[in-house]
Amino acid sequence: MPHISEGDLHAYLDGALAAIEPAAEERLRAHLAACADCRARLERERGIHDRSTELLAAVLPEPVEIPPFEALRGSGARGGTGAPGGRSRLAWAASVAVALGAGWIGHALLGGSGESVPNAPLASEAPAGSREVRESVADDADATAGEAAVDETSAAADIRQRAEAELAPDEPATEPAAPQASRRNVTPAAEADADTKVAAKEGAEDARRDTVARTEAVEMESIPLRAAAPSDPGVDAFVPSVVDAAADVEARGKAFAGAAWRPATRDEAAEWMGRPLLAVPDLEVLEIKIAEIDGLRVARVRQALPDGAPLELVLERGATGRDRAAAGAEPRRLELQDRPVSDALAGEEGGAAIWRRVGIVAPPEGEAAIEGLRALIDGSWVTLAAPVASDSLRAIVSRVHRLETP
Amino acid sequence: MSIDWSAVYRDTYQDLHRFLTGRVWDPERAHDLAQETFARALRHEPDNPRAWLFSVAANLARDEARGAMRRRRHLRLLEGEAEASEPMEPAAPERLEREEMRRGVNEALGRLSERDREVLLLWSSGNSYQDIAGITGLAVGAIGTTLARARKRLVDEYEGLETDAAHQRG
Repeated sequence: MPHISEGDLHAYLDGALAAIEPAAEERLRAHLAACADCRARLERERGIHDRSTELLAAVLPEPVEIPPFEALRGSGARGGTGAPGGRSRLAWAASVAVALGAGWIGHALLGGSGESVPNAPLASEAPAGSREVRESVADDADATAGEAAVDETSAAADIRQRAEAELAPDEPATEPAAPQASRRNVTPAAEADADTKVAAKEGAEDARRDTVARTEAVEMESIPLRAAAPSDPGVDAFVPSVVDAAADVEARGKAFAGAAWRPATRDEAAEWMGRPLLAVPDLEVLEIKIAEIDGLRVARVRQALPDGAPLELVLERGATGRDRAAAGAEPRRLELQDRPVSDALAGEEGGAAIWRRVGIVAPPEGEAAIEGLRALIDGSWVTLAAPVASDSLRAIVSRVHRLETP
Repeated sequence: MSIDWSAVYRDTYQDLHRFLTGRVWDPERAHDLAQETFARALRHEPDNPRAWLFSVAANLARDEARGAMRRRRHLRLLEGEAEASEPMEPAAPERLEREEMRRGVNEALGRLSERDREVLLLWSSGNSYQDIAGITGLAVGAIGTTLARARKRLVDEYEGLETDAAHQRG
């Protein structure tokens, strides 16, 4: 028998040789027993094998917390056991509302037209259908059937249509179905290839765009951003990794949605908050609203990103103890901790800014995901949401400043 | 065929995240890509979920990793993480050593061929030889050879970097 190849030695060390060919391991052992050269080579390869395993252990992560599977619920699943069916756009809007803990963010992003938006979309005044949707999603673990029964009221349909017009001006809202039939009766590898050709083709393009956008987000001087393309799933399907307990977030979302928001000027809002308003100075302010929620004074600033996509900022007066405690309890959720958000506006916590990702809210197929981020800026918590990539939103956060009165 | 996707998610997420972290060198970005991969899977419903997931993840990671600017950003993030994780305390020697090793391994991994790195990371992420063959399109019999080459190159490159660093220090 010729000497054992290095490949077979490694397959043997990996315990994979028998799986490749049942008799191969037996033959290898017999050869090793008779061949001193190959025994020496085996020990040499074992050293390489073990050393490479040690090196890789240094860079590969320990087991991580798995985001809840439910995070993928709205991402366009068509079925399958345990995978919920496609969700209505309204259901998604409601899930955005609840997930971000600030109901009107998602709602306004979907319903906003770029003009001054009346208070009508808020839950307290919204058509019953909208409220039903929000509540049905709030407690739906198996909502597929329920969602199918959801009626779109004319107002709700209007919100949807405006969302489509705003978020999907040029591209179809759905992507072509995967070639299911072609995948039957093929080998797993061929199946993966076939699927990958579809998914990877779009993936390569999406990822390329995403990479460009993310790189630009870091490199460009001006505010770098892009609205997620309607067919771009690049930022979808992330669990809303809110620090608060889900029930609390849900209640909070409803409280925000149900608040009595009223329009305000910059001065009025600054006075209401007892401090200068925070926003991105370079961007046009479309509207400002204020409200009191659970005894907390809150302001909402809606701005237009350069490409017309909506950016929402929610300003809270002061950082709550709960936020501080929660942030401290889950340091892993803090991103870029202790890196200043803005040179001019170092927050509290030892003069350093803290921010954390609220989450990406999974959109239905063909719709833009909304990225949410919560930052402690200038001593206040600011929640930002926009249909942009996460790096873009981080870049936007870095531009938040006190808004000067015009 | 009805697939329990929640079970697939539960069973595969860790491995996929591990694989992606090795490919993009950014654990948070790896989370994003893992989620994206699963979202795509739910749309496409492949019959062989594991192979499909890793194939798509590999494609996403490959594209992601191509950009040189991305790498530069990664390095900045690593620096930021190092600063952020223990900002108030002087770095312990063990931690510095660990960080140095991590950088060295990342650089050594970056010197492997695309194929070798992918196969090595797939194996390190809990995939069998058969899985890897299904994901990469290589013959099962070629996986051992690829791994042998990749491991040797990884160790050689890393040792070379360490030697260079030792010369510079002293």
